[in-house]
Amino acid sequence: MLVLNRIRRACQTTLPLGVLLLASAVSGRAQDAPKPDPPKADPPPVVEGRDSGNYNIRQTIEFGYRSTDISGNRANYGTFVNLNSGVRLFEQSLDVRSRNHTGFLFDSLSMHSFGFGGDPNDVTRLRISKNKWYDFNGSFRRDRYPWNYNLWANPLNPVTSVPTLPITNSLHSMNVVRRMSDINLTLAPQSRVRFRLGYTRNVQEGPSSSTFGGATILDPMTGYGTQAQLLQNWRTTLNAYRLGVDFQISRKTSFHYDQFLQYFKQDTSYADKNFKYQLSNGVPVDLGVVFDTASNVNVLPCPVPVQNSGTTPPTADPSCNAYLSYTRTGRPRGSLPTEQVSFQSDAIKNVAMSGRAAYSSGEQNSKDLNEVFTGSNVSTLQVGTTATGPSHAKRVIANADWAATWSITPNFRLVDSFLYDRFQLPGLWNFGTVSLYAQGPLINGGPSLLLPPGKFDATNCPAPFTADTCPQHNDNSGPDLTNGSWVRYLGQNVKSNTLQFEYDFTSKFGARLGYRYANRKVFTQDNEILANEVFFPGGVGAARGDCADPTACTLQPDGSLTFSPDALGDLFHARDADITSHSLLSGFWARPSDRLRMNFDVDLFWADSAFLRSEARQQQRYRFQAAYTASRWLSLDASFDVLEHRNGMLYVNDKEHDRGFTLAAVATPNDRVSIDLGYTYNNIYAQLIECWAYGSGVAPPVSPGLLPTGAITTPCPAPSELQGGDVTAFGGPATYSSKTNFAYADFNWKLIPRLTLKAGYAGSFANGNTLFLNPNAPLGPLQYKYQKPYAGFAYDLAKGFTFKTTWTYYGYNPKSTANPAGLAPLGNQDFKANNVTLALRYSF
Amino acid sequence: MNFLGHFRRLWLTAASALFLIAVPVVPQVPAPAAAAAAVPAAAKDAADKPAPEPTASKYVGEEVCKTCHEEQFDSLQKTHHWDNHLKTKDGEEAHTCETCHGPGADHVDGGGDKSKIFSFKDAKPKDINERCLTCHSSSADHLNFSRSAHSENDLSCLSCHSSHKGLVNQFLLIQAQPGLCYTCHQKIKPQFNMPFHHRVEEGLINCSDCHNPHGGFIGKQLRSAAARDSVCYTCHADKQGPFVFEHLAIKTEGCITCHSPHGSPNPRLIKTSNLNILCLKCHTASTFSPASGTPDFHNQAAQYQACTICHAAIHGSNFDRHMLK
Repeated sequence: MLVLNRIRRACQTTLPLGVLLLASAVSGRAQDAPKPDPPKADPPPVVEGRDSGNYNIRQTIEFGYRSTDISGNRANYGTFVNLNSGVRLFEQSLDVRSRNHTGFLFDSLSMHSFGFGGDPNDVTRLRISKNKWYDFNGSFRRDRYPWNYNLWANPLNPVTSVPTLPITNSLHSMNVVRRMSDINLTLAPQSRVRFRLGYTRNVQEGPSSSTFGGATILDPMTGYGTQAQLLQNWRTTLNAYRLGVDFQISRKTSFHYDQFLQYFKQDTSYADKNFKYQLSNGVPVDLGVVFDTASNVNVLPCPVPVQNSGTTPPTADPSCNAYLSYTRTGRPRGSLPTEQVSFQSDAIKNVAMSGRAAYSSGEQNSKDLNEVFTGSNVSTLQVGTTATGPSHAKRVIANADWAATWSITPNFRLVDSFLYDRFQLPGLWNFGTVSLYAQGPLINGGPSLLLPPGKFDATNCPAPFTADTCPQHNDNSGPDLTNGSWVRYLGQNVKSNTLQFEYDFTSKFGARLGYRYANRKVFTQDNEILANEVFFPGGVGAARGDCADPTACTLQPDGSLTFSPDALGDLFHARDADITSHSLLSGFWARPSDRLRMNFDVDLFWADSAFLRSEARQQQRYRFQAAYTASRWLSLDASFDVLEHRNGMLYVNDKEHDRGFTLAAVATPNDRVSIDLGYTYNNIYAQLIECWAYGSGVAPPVSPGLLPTGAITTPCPAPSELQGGDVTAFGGPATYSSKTNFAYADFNWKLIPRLTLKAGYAGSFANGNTLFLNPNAPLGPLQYKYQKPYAGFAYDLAKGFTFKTTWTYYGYNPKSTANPAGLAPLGNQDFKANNVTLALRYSF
Repeated sequence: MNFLGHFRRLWLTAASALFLIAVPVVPQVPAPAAAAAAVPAAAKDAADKPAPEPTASKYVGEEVCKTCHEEQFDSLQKTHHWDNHLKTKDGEEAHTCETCHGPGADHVDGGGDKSKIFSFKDAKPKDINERCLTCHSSSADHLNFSRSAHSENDLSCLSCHSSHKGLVNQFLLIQAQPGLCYTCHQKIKPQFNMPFHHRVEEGLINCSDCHNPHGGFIGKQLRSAAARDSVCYTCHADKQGPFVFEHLAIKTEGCITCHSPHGSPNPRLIKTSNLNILCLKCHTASTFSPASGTPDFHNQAAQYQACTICHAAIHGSNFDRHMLK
């Protein structure tokens, strides 16, 4: 890694410097070269640039000011658009071309940038090439990503809770920046042996938030407290190196070798910083993000969370589920070296072949997990936990593709392609956990946040282990100490072959017919190999969990019980799937006249099984597209794309479709006017049987009072044994539908030689519905209007100088209410933004 | 595996691959003139019945072409294709206008008779493609073009590129992305105009960052990350793993099991408006699925937290089999 870091540092230091020097040197030679350059978005005038020595140089810079006026939900505006006020470099371009293609250092150089100065997306793309010597391209992209859509990961706290806790910012918001750099260099691009070098760096960092569900140990799975929002200090880095060689073995055969070296590191850390309450002793406390004190099922964080609202901050009830501290660090490091060979050959008469094969053995290691929690988990009496232990996962991948086209006659071809893909993914986590339990006396059966943890030692917890200073356990309490291993395995093996006949009946009509066979085998296994569990006495005693039957465990002299599984460990899940599928592929293309072309494809798929419930066992896809040039100035397009998807297995009954229909027209009645119009209707629908647990031992709808009005109480159609144990399930067909109408128009009019007007519109209108598990849930993104009209003009002030202004409106209007009945206020989702840019474009 | 280990494997693999590849390759190295002549000719009237190519001796040279086609000559001079004209090897036919159009003597002698030369404007797409691939097939990006969806549907290289003069300098495209792609893939434009979308219209991402317009071995002409992993990992590297505890569907079915890649009305580009409905699609207990049903303490009829409030590490975890962290 030291070598790689040096290479990377050297690249980072020298390459940008070299590029800048090169660009500035060329610019310097062409400093008196005022010529207009075609604008990027507007109809471009032909610009010859300025000749300087052997080079022709064209440059453009467009800069100005963006003024943005936002009303409504600014967080949503930031999530969707995020264009804000300020001085901006709207566009920059530099094109340098050797006039006789024999430049000294390069024959052509082009650099294009936009967005610098504060826009969320800043991009620079650079390409430099020198004839037969080299071809270099690089890019830098920065994406600032302030994502905060508050209906995402919103617990929808009820208004009946005292106090109510409205969640008006997403609990999973992000304010991260992603910087992506790519450079690629091809040496001797026109020779028979070419060398390719590449480097990619992708860094994502910044503050974001996540949540933690309160389960801090492995088992029992009933160990939940409340859910807390965490500060997620995001930092991930990907460094990828590419090395390739192309061999042009003959005019008809080329061979390629590629080596990919990819290194990933994650340094994201997590911490609870959300202490909005205090205990009576002044210690800050986090009561979590779910407030549902009136629930008949799961009261969170406790029946009366606030003891005294008159203090600053308010004083919390010490018997609540709560966090006094939570931190987690762990720094996974991954590598993915891949070797790939590929070839292309037309060497055999009438046969064109290509293929590739790759082998990769990636791994990810994390050696320093450190999770520490202190607080209170009422259901298990836990008041503190730590979890540590290294993890290691490996992924071995081998895949290959081969394809050939045999031109049996000039108009008749046989195409065959074969795919093989196999991976194996073993994973191992060697873990150790320590749990601390409450000290007595308990408050309402739960821990007191004001007391330290119980201690299991001879002084604080002598036999018979009934002292309040003993760690208090209940039936939900897990072991006090664990160490062991989790072993996971996932493997998949895919083979597929597609055979297709293509026939060109005439130069105006051709068709194809084919068949695809595919077989996929998946195997997954999940083992927990516990080396040891230790159950301390105190409270209900040590006989609990895996030691509920004390004879299965060993009683230690200090009164604790230890559990050791058999050598093979506990097998939790082992699943496999063997799926064979068949597809009939067909299609035609037609050009009945020079003005009309059409394409139509049909894919019919069926499989004998499925790995996932939502996976198709029958699928049909129909695609049609027609383009008609009605006249020299008018072209019309129409298309449809229909996907029908079914899985009729018992208790699944999956029916889905995605149907899209489009009409578009482009009119250019003369050189001064252009009109672009389009309309798309899209209809997405999904329905399958979904079931969810209601609760242990409660038969629905015997106790309807436990449920909010409108809650679904129909029993799950699947047999109860499928749900496992004594779980009673509700369920039925779960539907989701989304119908979207989208229309756009773009209009350009060169009113006078110096003045170009433009206007346009793009609007999405969505109307959908879904099953609401929570009858009070807002519509959210199901029904909305999202509209973006714009207008502007460009005026040529003088040779090379153009003044441009554009007004753009962004309006998002969901039908969701800001204050859904029964829920704490969520806030308006609407926003309106007027965005005006004033820019000066200088081309020289 | 350390850095040196990677390179040891590199050379071992390269040597093995060279050996394997050498076997199927039939070394038929034609003379340059023969290679040029082997490119199929086509003219408007003879599209279905290609006329035999003139012999190599009938090359006239670029200056003769310029006499009538000055505009094309001038615009070609500004493109990378002009680099061909600088070649000093392989004979004159390998580095003039006639490299692509074929020998021009008959065309000149015929007073500009279009049927006597390969006219791209009037040629069949497959013939055009074959001409272009004579040089461009050696690029790793073009390996599979003849079997691409674009080729299958009778599109030619000139559907997207202008060999003499591209409006977009790089790659001689006739129009910049994504507008170029929208001309056929009209259904996609609305998706990039939805509230939640990948930043394609904003210029941050190009269609060709994820799709290889020249075809590939994967469906939808998708590119792939290293080891043919999902192209999504190119940017979303933190989701690639491998993880000790994988979310099986991601590795076996791909990201599109849950996400709509271009754009969606729904946050995080997920396929349903309510996350829990999406999770329950698989996590309803059934006889064949590896996904577990929801346990009894996940009372969806009375607790409405999104699944990811607790299962925050939903794309995979190294420390929790339930992906809580």
